[in-house]
Amino acid sequence: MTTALPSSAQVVIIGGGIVGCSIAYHLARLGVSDVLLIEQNQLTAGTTWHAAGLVAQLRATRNLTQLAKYTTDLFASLEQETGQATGYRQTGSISVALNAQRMTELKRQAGTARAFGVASEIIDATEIKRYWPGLDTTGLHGGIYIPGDAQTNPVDTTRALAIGARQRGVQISEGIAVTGFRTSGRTVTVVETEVGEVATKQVVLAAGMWTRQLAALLDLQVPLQAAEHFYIVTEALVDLTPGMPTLRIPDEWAYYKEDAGKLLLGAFEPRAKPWSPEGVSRDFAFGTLPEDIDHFAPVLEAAARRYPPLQSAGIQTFFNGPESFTPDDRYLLGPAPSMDTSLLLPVSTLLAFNRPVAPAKYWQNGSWQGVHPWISGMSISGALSASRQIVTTWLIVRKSPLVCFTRCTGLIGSTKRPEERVAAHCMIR
Amino acid sequence: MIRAGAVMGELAGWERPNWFVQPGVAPEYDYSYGPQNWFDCCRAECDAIANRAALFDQSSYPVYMVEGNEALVCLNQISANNIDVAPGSIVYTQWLNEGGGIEADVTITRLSEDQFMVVSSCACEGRDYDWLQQHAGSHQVSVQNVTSGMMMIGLMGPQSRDLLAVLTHDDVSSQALPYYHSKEIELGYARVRANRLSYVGELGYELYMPTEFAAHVYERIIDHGSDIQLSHAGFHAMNVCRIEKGYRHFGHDISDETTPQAAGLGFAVDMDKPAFNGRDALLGIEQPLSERLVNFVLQTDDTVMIYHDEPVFCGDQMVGMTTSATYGFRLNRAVGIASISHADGVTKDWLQNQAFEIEVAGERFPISVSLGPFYDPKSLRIKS
Repeated sequence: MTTALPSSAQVVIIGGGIVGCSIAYHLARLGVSDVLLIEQNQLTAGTTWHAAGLVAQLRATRNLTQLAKYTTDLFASLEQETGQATGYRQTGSISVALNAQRMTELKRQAGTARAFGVASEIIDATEIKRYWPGLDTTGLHGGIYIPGDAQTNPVDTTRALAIGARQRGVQISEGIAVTGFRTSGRTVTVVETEVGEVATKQVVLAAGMWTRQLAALLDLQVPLQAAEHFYIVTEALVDLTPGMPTLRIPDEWAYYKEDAGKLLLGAFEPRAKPWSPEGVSRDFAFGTLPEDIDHFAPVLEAAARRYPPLQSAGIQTFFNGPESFTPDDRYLLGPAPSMDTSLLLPVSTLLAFNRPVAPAKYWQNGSWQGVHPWISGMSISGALSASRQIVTTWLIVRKSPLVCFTRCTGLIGSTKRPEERVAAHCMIR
Repeated sequence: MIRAGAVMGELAGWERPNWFVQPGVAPEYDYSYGPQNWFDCCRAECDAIANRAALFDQSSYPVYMVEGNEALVCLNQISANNIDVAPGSIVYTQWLNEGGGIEADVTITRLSEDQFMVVSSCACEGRDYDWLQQHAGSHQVSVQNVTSGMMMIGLMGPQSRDLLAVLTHDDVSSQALPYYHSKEIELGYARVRANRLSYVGELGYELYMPTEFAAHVYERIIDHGSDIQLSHAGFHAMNVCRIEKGYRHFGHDISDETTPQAAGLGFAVDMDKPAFNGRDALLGIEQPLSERLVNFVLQTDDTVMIYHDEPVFCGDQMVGMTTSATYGFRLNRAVGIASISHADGVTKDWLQNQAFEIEVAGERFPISVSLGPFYDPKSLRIKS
């Protein structure tokens, strides 16, 4: 829907994925309706459209967990409010351990969940098998069941947020790309687009994997990089039943989701594949990437052993699409360094289903306030965000969030030394 | 550092020595939920810190120079503590937001009437610099981030002064350079700023020098350090020691939602100052506090690994959670900091009359809690 742009807006949100639409919705709910959302293609066309839509409650910190819990509540009520079905289902989730160390980690997660007020239960292999009957429980040490976790349809949920925003007066303009900014001191004054200018006081960069290049127009270095993300979707499987909990097997890098009678199997593999570090084209809408069977094969082979029904299942889709990540998996939220009035919020869409709601909490008296520093990846030093090669290399060597909960929670407060020296080194050589 | 046996880790883009291998130990992590493979090495580092001296590469510490006619006015408005001290003095302070929450946790050294050196922590480089710039606003003040140009070597331990005295002709006696004071000294070819303070709870110095002199100063220290069996030490040891001493860490224990009072940092707030950011909010805080940070040690010598976000119980009631913890090699106990809530007030009396437990991976462990630190509670060691 392309409409004429207004000459001014109190807030301009750039990006019409789950994050941008959620910010628009929440601003409107807070009574800030003079909001313009600009999307260069169509809503969800970047990465939201292919997200798995997993909604997890337990996050690495108490604040993130509070936000994630709020998200759960929101998604549950959105359909009633907007009339747009979201596909939200409270399926619960199970993470299982294939070794004693992982089991300890899951038990620790249960403690953290308790501290954060999230219901959870440690379960054994028999119970896991009850939820996932086809599963081969060989070597299973047990798991953690979080009943409040959920799944949602990313496209429909984004639509619902957009409807809710529009109902409250937000203008959403699609098919228009932002081309530049004008600033006065630390303040953005004008957003320039292909079809004209919009005067504004607040800008939200919610452009996902485009955010890095967009922020560069403001001389801001945003440490964000897209990586290839793989999943498969099978043909219908009789062994699956609607509402099965999401299953995560971090020791095999995999997550399993029942999706309309089919199985979606995705992975956070140990070595990521960065995609297009030079930038992402404006026209990359609903884009996919070539499959890479060799890269996905270890995951698939382990999954076929772990879940034998997969062996005879036809595979409907080999999917590969980009997702954007920050080097430390934290999302970037808060006023941009050296700017007064811009908010940056480029997060991995993959993770965004737990987090798109954050801004509501932080909008006070016409500006963004009190963003918890450990939510905000803005703490990343200039050293790490300085060059594309640093961010890209860091992304490869960092373990994925699913595989390495330990690092996310800081339970083990260090990383292995990467193969390449990418950080700012100690000054004594 | 790597030649000296450093095993590196990463923080906020910096690659830093986390621990140093002892002979016969493989220089790599073997991750575990039990005692870590680097424990023995870290224990040796802590032993050096407590009994001799150890050297830390702290080049990742952000340093900002704040200068100008209104530098004092500006910093005193931002800081909860009083920065109007004699040149050569150091002030530990928090920067607060309007709600009284801690936005930054820094030390400020007054170099001269209108020159100040602000030192923050590694992960906060960007945000603290931004906070400074924002609040410098219309003041006649220049704010520079000189982190890359300024190297810092930490020299920590009871023999650090003896070592320093060998390295310089300048007087570094306790009279000439008391606790929380700073002076420029000559060290080899370099002029070095020696700040006498410590994040590990021992007599110690932070030595600042231009980066081009770093290698030289380092070599001088190492050359003379063998006399006292100077050790290298990494950030695991630093974290262990700071937790034993109850020193708060921004991002773990304190954040923009924690007031200095709730953090147990009220001593660093000067309410006699007529105005500073966050003062009004602090005036409105009701006593006794219903939530605040406390220090704890495990009552048994189990090497159970506690990190943060483990629930804390008082009987059947969950009353809080840990904010940071470690195994303490000087105390020989698991030790940490926890945030505790109690509607009627988290007071010393109340704490003393309750039994607390921590839950780790489903198991409960009894702990002792205290408002003061368990290691050197009277701070005799840092002031010696």
